[in-house]
Amino acid sequence: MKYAFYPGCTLQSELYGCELSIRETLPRLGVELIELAGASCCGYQTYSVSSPLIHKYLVARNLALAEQLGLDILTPCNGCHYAFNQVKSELEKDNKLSASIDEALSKEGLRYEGKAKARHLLDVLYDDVTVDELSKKIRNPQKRISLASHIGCLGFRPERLNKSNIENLEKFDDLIHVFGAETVNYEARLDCCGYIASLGNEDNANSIAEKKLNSVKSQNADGLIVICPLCFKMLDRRPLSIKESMESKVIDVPVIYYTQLLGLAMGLPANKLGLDLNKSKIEAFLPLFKG
Amino acid sequence: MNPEKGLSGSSQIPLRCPYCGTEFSSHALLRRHIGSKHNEKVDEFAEVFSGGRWIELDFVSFLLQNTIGNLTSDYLEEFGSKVSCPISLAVKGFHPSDVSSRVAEGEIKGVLKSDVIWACTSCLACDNEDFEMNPYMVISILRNLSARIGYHYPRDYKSYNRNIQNIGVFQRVKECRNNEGKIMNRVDLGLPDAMSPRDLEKFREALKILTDMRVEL
Repeated sequence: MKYAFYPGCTLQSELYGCELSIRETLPRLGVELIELAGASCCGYQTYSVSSPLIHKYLVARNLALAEQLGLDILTPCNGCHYAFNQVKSELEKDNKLSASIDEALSKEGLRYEGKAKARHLLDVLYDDVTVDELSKKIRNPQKRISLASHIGCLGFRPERLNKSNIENLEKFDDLIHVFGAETVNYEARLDCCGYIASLGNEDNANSIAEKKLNSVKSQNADGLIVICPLCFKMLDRRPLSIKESMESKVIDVPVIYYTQLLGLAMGLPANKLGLDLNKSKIEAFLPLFKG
Repeated sequence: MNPEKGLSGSSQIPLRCPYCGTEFSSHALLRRHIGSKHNEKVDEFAEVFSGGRWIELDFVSFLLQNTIGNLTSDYLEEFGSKVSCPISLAVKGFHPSDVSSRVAEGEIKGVLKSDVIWACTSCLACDNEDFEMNPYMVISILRNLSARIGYHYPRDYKSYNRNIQNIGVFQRVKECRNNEGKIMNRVDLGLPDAMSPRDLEKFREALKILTDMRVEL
């Protein structure tokens, strides 16, 4: 299993704990990550707002770079994954659009042929690595923990693009059960983390995240586990500003990125997984798989 | 496409005020005129980075009223009953179907100037195959319009677009602080170089080509 690794802008520019844990765990599971040299932003929620044409170009450009390597893309970001698949589907149907984009791509000596696919980290873990193989690589926990899972909106939507997206909710929970953990149901499970709202209005975003974290808290889960870096950023880091702006007393919910917990379960040291970079209090997870 | 065109692609096109028809020799003069005579603010960013063409808002409003599903009260009721918006439960005063109804009633300018369209998180909970057009699509169109006109385009979005133009990604690599207060960067953590286009000049040229194409379209 070999993929062109596309971390996405947020992961590579500030979420180093998530990135470290992906780079440490996947090769140990037989997934080789090749750098996608020369890649750019995919334009999701940047140019997709102000210039859909440039957004589509940015997506095609990254897929064309992967094609040059003869590889599919692996990305952990729900937004990038959605953008890659949405635009790829549009390019398949619209020859005029493809021709316009190819004209611009030729400036950089690139050509889009539609051969490369974009796979999400969750799909690669579930479908390629498989739950059975994951189970063989990890240790038994010291105790049974309960986790609230948050897959992120574009992890299971939209149905319009892929009817089987909804199955990802169960897939993610199955990947969590591998740790011997139970997943709790909570009222705001399918609700957004609020990240995109933070670009327009921080208070709105904080209200959304607060609702989500309070819902997790109400179920007395040991923590919240996420797989999209943007959601991780919002839910791991926002509680501080939520407290400041809303004078709320809540939300000491430990938030952990999926491959961070996976790494711990595989016996990797915490510093290799960037756990010292998380802002929420995750100390309770550290001894879980020791011994 | 004319390769001699500038970034805005409009050097061959006479610049006319969309309100009174007066001609101008530059975007800057036209912008100043519209600001002082017609009390409309159009920012430079929208002009340079978003196509450089003035938008006939009344005409767009007319088109939207006729294309967003002919938003009848029955249709909107259906939106209300079938479309669940988790964001509207957390953000007071926001509901995507209200945005659609206001546009259907011709209130487009007020909607574009408010920050209501930026409250949507693009979660796609309102995407429903029963509807050809969902509220998120309406909001996307309005965001695009607002960005292009420069009415209300949040600062983060602007800076992200500028960063893509300048460095190929929307955010520069940051330093981080671990829970002992130690400041580290990607090299300290043993991470490889962050992704970025190899030849930024060529990358920007490609974006210029696309900007010109968009103007022609």
